Amino acid sequence: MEPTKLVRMVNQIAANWDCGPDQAKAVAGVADHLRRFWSPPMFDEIARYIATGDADLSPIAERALTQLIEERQVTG
Amino acid sequence: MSEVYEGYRRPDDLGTPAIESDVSITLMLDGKKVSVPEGTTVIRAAALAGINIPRLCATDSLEPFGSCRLCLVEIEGAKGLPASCTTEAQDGMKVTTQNNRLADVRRNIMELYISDHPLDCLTCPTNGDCELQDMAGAVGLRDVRYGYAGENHLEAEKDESNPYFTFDPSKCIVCSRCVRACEEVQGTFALTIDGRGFDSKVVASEDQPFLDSECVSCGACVQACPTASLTENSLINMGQPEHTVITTCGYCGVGCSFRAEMKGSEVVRMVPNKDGKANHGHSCVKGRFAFGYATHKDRITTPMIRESIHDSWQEVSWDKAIKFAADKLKGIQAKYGPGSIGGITSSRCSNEETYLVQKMVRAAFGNNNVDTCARVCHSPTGYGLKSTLGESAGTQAFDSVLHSDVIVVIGANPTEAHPVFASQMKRRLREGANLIIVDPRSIDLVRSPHVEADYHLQLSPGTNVALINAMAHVVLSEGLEAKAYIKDRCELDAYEDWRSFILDEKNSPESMESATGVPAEDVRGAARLYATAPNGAIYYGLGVSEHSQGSTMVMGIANLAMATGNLGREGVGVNPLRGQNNVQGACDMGSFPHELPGYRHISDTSARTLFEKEWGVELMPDPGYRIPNMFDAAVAGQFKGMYVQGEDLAQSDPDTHHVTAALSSLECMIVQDLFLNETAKFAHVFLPGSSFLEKNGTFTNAERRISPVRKVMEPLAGYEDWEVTQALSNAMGYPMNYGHASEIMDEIARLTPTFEGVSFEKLDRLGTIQWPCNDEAVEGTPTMHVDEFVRGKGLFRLTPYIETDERTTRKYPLLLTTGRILSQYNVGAQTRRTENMQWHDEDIVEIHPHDAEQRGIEHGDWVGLKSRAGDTVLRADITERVQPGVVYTTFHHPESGANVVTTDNSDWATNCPEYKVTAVQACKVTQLSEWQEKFEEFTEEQLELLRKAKTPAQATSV
Repeated sequence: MEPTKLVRMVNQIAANWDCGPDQAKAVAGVADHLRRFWSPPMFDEIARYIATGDADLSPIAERALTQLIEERQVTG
Repeated sequence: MSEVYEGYRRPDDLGTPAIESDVSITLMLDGKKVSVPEGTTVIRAAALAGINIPRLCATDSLEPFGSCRLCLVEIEGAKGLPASCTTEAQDGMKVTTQNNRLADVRRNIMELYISDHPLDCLTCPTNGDCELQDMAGAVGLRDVRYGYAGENHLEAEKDESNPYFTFDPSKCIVCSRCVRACEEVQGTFALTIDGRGFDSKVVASEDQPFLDSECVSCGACVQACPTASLTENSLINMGQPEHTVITTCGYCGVGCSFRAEMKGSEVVRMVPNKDGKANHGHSCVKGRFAFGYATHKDRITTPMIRESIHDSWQEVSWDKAIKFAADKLKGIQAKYGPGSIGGITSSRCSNEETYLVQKMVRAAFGNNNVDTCARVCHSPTGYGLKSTLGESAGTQAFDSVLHSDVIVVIGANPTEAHPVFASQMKRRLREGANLIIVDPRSIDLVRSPHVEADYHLQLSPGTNVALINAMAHVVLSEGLEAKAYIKDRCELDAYEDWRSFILDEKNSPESMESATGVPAEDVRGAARLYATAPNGAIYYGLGVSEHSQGSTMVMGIANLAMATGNLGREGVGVNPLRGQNNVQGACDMGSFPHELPGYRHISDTSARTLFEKEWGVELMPDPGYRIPNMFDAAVAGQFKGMYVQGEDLAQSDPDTHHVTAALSSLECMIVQDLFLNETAKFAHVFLPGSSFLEKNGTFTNAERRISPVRKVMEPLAGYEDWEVTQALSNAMGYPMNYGHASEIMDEIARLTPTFEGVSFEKLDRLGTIQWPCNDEAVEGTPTMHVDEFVRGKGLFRLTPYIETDERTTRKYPLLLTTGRILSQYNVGAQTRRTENMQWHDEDIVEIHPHDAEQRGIEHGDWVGLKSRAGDTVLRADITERVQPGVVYTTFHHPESGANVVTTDNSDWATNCPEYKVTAVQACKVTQLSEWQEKFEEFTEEQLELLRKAKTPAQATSV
């Protein structure tokens, strides 16, 4: 899948959660959203892209994805 | 309710509509004591008591009129002979319905009618089903003393302009039933009685042919006509039906109940069912007349296969086609992995069929790559309403609108897309309800006969959320919120967060005016009107959901309804108007990749375990691909096989270049459909589908109403759609063994709490059922969230307005928005194969005179529309329906290429495409676009490959 499209999608999700003073809540919201609606191959694709350092993610998107990638590494 | 009537009979007619009253009165009819609700007419009271008073102008679908004088009666103490249809029954009244005096008067009246009526009963199309004929018999007419030599209307010319019905004025008795039906039932006011006395005649608009008039061909006038003056052409051609089957329309999300009136296995006519709880005996041009596609010559009834999309099709047996398909899919999975294939369910198919497709994907394909066309229409409704209220469905029954005081219509065009519900809404508006319309375009409801919106908030496309936030700002800043309701029924922490968010000055109507283009004072006025209404109801459509913030807008609507206490009783609510017949059902049935039937997340172990136990297979706990993800994965070479039942992705989905690239890259595309649709042109396997007339099942409409679909003819290709899915599943190695669609519903009921009490047997008994239907609501649930929200406390979600990426630039200075038209349905696969083409044989682009003049475009010119995704060419309609800077078109014809222009921009939460906002440029051109030329070539190639189809084997059993 086109990784830049996935980046655009997750940034869009993050922008819609980033609407209050509580940034941790926004990060949790994005992470939960991705957990609930994204298919595993999409995670794998964006994780690979993040590893290249080219992913132009918003801060909230980046924090949410970092959290999810760690979580997936733990759970296998 | 019985489902099939042996032999044909006209439905019972009690003369005037039912009256609701808690007070009962008692009168004497021919010496018989009869008790009826106060306000009931004498004619209806008599009919309820089994006494049928002769009548012509009275019918229980219309208000009493009192013109034919045939229903006159004697009432003790009353002067003269009052018409029983216009006389209210009174407590203690003594009525005589039949004696010699009344018989003489009635016979004389009939004699006058018949003196100006052709005596061709034996060759008349309605012979055997004519109220005039019946009344002549009822009054004992034996002679017409006046003769026929005098002036009469017997030579009046027929109007055969309408493709579906004929107006024969020589048979008209000027009872005004057609005129009143057009007014009261349909609300179009296209018909009138022109002239006075003997010259009186029914005319359409300004005495125009019906086809050229304002008539919308809903059929209400034909239904109301007591003679052969207005008659279906199919009846004229085929004669009277001999049996009737009650079934449900296969078109829009209103879900009208119809009487399929049959002659053997042929449909003579589809007549709206008076007992239908969604339509109450009304219909539109599609459901009433446009059923001919089911037997159109383009139907493909033999399975076909081919190795490449550039090969000729080969007609094969069902066995061979199913084996070919299964082998291909299994081969792909072996080569590319279990997640390399998926399936698409259809909102045009039944609950049982969609359930089975998602079951096959999850159980036989072994993944969750299943999605449905609701992805591209109402997926934001599912997300938004589930998040805020706890259930992914509309909150009301359609009848609820009759109790609304203020009706808000946002991004919906009911008179075009949900016409039967629009008629009901217009009835309420004529009674005095206020109307607020939020739409970039001037839809008919803004101003039409006897309907005028109090506010038309004509916002710029893509600014819905800015507007709904501004309305909420008014409610909160002016103290109009329902404080006690919020305190009692909503999560207060979330409410306080939302309140602080909304009260930020940036959300005020004045601040948002520059974004929305709507004067702040209008927003304030509309918000006050809605918030202070005793009952405020919101109805919305794809103009809400098909945006980059579609889900946000749905949540914004739910927030506003909660804040004003407009949820949980009749007359209020949040009501998504679903586009296709079974959008609600397809969503309910677990068609989304992340949800099992009943909206339970696939990661929910207890729900998954329930299904695993019933299905005998382990299920994957992660969501699968959505449709756009499937396309992206296909283009990337990671997704190789697809089974598509009853959908046309190549025409309906946005960014056609991307979609066709994805479809072209598949190694196995299986399409199950009635026709070689646009998607089937990319297919390797074609499995013939069955129309709604050829199968048993259920549809669930926009008000959660589960209605029976009954087979009125055998499937032309031999199998109902669910049987084909079952065969494919078996060939894939996952056994299914259903003997009837009812067994699938039984399984759904076992596994889905909201469907727990649903069965075909109960549907036969009750007619329809609105879910939830379980031990707590044995006969269903018309209104949801009555005492508490499904999720417990209502949740206010924050709704920041984020401007769409599809914004105007110097290169693309206009915004394209898309919509629907009355006579066509969705991608047009069905309606393009009917006479509805007479109303709309091509998609056109609406452009404001100012924009047209700037570009030198005149009415009817070819206009090139270009976006960052692609370009196409359409004819121009210069109109002020659209505002300057906005252009509009429909997508009913594939060659129009509306979706060549729409982009991959989508809703942040659900990936529902942003069909409603595309930045474009428009200019005058003289030839088709490059895409259109290629489309023509490809279409011709595919049709030629179809023509070359070989027939090595006759179809055998699956």
